[in-house]
Amino acid sequence: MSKVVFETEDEEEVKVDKDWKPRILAFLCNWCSYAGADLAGVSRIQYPATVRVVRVPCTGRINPFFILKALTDGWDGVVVSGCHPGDCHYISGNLVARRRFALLNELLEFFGIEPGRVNFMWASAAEGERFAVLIEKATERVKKLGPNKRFLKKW
Amino acid sequence: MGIEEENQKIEKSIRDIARDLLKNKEVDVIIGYTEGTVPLSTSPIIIRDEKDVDKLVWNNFCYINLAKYLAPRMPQLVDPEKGELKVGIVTKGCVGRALIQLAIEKQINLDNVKIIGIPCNGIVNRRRIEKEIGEKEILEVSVSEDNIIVKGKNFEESFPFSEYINELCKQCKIKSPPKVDSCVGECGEYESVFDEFNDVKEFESKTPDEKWEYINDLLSTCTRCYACREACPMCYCNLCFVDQNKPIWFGKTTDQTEILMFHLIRAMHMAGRCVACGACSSVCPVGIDLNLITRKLEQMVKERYNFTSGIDIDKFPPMMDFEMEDEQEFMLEED
Amino acid sequence: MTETEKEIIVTGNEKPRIGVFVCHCGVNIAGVIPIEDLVEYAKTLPDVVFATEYKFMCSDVGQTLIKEKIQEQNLNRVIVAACSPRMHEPTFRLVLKEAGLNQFLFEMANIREHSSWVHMKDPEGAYEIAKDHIRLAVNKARELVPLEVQTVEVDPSCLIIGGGIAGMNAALDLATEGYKVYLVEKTPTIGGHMAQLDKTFPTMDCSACILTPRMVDVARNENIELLTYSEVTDVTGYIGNFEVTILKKPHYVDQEKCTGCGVCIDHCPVSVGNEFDLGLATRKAIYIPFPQAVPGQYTIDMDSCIRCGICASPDVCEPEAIVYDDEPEEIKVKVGTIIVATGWDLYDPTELKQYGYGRYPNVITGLQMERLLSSFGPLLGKPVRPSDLKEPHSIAFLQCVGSRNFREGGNKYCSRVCCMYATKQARQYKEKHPDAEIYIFYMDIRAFGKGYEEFYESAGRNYGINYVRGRIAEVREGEDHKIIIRSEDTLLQQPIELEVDMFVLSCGLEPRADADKITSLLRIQRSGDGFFMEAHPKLRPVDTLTEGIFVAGVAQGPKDIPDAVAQAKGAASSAAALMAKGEVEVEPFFAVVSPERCIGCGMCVENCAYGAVELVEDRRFGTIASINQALCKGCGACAGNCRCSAINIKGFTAEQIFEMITGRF
Repeated sequence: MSKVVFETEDEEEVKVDKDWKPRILAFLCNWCSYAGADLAGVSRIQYPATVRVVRVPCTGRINPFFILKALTDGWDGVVVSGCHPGDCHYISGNLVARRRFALLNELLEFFGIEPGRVNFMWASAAEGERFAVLIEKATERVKKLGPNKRFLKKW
Repeated sequence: MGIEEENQKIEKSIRDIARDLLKNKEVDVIIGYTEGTVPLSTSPIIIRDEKDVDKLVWNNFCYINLAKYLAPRMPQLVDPEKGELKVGIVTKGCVGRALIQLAIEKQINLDNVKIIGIPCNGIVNRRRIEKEIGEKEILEVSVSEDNIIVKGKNFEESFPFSEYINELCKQCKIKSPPKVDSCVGECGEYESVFDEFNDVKEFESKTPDEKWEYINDLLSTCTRCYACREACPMCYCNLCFVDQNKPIWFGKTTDQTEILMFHLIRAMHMAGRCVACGACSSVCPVGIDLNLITRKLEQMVKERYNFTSGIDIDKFPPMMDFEMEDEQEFMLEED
Repeated sequence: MTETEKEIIVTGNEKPRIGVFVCHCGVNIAGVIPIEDLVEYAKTLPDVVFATEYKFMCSDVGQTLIKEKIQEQNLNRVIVAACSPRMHEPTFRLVLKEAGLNQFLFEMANIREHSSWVHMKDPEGAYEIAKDHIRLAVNKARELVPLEVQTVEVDPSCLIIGGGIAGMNAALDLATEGYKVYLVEKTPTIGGHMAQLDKTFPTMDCSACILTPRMVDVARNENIELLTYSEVTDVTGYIGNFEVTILKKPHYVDQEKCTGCGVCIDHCPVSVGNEFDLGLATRKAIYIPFPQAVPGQYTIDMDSCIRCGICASPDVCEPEAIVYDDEPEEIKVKVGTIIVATGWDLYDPTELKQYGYGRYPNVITGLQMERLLSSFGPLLGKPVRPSDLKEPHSIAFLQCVGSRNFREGGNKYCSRVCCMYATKQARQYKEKHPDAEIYIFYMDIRAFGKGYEEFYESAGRNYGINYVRGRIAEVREGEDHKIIIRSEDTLLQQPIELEVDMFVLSCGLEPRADADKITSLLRIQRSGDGFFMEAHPKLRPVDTLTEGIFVAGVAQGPKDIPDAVAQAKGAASSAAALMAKGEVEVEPFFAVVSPERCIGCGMCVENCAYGAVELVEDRRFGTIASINQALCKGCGACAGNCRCSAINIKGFTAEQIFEMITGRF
């Protein structure tokens, strides 16, 4: 069965269009990163039109299912962004989440999911600029990898 | 002392201890291993009467993790009047680790468990031997000197023991349970366990494409029978995530991505909890060897959070805890 | 809801009837994204039975439109595609409520902050994002269920952190309205920076004359519990019910017994620099910061005290108030609201080596100048040069020190008070020394307040103060510790070299060095400049993002005294509004456990920062997790880690998020 996977991948071998805009799903915590993204808007900071936002109360809410499901369902990339450590609106939700993300990230890489498909970041409510810069960076990483085919559900 | 002789000595001690425990009413039942129905295997057994203790065996085919068979999950170990029965359990290193981990997760009450510790010398990689024997029917297996002797109709083959035990057993540093009530032979003390994890590091030095290919290949024959889950002492959810339908996070097909997803999430759920007993690989009907993933789980929590599961009952596993200073090198930063 | 309108009952079982309302936001959205197309797109989405657009959905007309359509179309889910939900979600929820629909059957699609404003140069991209945000919202909306608003009681008491002019005014307002106030001040006295000032611009009224009576009022008010020389060490709880731990530092002087007679200071053999006078004068190891300090009791500075025991002898301290083995005391109070009024630190110009502060004795900061000018300062209002204690003939002021700096060193923002305080100080000096030569080097003069422009105008015209437009490149020390200044007069476009007796750096205001501590104690945010962030820069300027916590004074950003007082009164009034009602509605977003899934492993118990989860014995399901909804804040740390997916978060349920994730195309 694995062979089938590789054949499909080979067939459509990397032909990355420069103008190709990856579709990225971003899970933003309500208190820091969502507000930071709002601030980027208010400040009219321009960044690539690649991210669709899912608001969550806190990065602590983000179950690994959310991230994996986003990939198998065909999003080209995932962004997870929360409050900086120590600034969590819920005291320690992001610290609980950080361990979860660290392990998930390692396992993703261990399974051969391309590094850069899933991007974890911190951005505070005051960091509109940083949010935009990091989104740009995440977009570049996903762009380099091309469309998500590896971890996509085929049927 | 040869392995066979060692095993026989252990087996005799297990029976003696079990008999005493039952006789002195220190326990109501003994959980241990007995002869399997087919070669290369053993079965779990619950012994209630001291007359039956000679049914207990110990050999290198005791791959099942007996921590799976404790109250309250085993209804036969709960007496309607007395409550949970007192249980003596034959405990190799990884069973001992599972007991501690289960106690941390409040799944068992160690007060009702008497741990009969055994220093385990390794479990035979039955799937590997079966694979090499092929279609021929195995009728008898024994361990003699340093070899595993496999006999059948018109054939006899010998496999070097040290080579043909589970990969995890080769790496194992916790051969006897970290906590024991009585011990057969010598049981060690464990505070920290050093391991270089060279096998994991070697795998991780591959490119993402190579890793992807390897993992895909490894799991390509998986039929999602979930035998690994059923054998795992740490898999005890009422409703496994793959069986949940509200919402259906992951489908039930044998689409390769969904197979990977099952193993990835299972790994995620096992991180900091897996006790590296290898039961999952031993029971896999299609012979998938999951030891590499198991080793990764051990390496990950050890190197990140200096944690080895099932050693210290007072230490929180990584997912129950956090530190302000936890490493976050994977976080995206501005240049 | 009017009589003609009917209540729309939603149980969750009926087919969704979703209405999508797309807002132009004037040209903010419509200028980038084709609204008509967006409406047409929305109509193609499953379960969307109605879609329309309007120029300003948040306006009265827009709100009425939504209400009408809910009734007319029997909508049971409403989506507004407009700005951030952080802006108008409460507005539109109210609209639903008025239209007879449960207010939580509402979802916003952010197509302004997250689309039209950040992709202005990529209208096609913006349109794609807007479409997706609407689709994601529709997907979530299908899974929305009616929720009951929760109310929590608000304790009629307020914690005010910081006893400067802002904190004091907020305290007095709240106390007058009958609320219990705990006013916590880090130093031994209230009064804050204003106590250090001599006169206040532009009215030239004496700072102490207007401040000290207020200080006494605070101390006398029976509703105010004054906790000076104290620090807040822990805050738990939530709006209406904060549990606050306050550490009272030991004074080593019994505050009940001390009469403030001051005999001890005459006998104390240890002299150290006085913080209040910024090192320009000394105080003893036993001290009060300044004579008018409130409370007027003494404190021993144990870092300097040599424990000679003189002050403790009954000949010196008759009431026997000295307690060398005084211990810190921890007190716990419960309050309904919190006001942060922690003020500011002066920018330390030492890092700007080119201005010679800390190297040349005659270079001082504006605040030091204030102490020199002060009639109750160390020199009783007759400034002298630090080097030789002679009255300076020529003084130069440099503006924007540490402010408006986009290069290395200092801050980017304008500190708002320096132009006026330099002008005031120059005028004060000129009043007494009409022959003195005064120069003020500036970038622009910002005289925006009431009476400020007139004040500045008169300084040049009537007092002969020389305003020179130009930043000083560097200074060096000349003979007799004079300061030689090199600059450019950018109006005359010529370089200047000038020798003055004294050089005053008009330093800006900075966030408190320990502001981080407050941030993590209260879980409030700081904006890019480091000051505490308001919930909305225009409409919620005294609220923080954490409900029930308000901010006042310079803690929120540089401001002058009238502005600080105005904001303090605003914060007090906002806090009072909460307390007057006695209860507040909170979003009913908390964790719920599916008992049939829960296995009782206890991970959630450890993951919860609020102690809201405990394991309980259930007759049917055995040991399972149970959520105390009064404590749960709905963060979801428990749900994110739960292997059994046994915990869900209302308002952000797994089903809702699942639908958003899977609705890609």
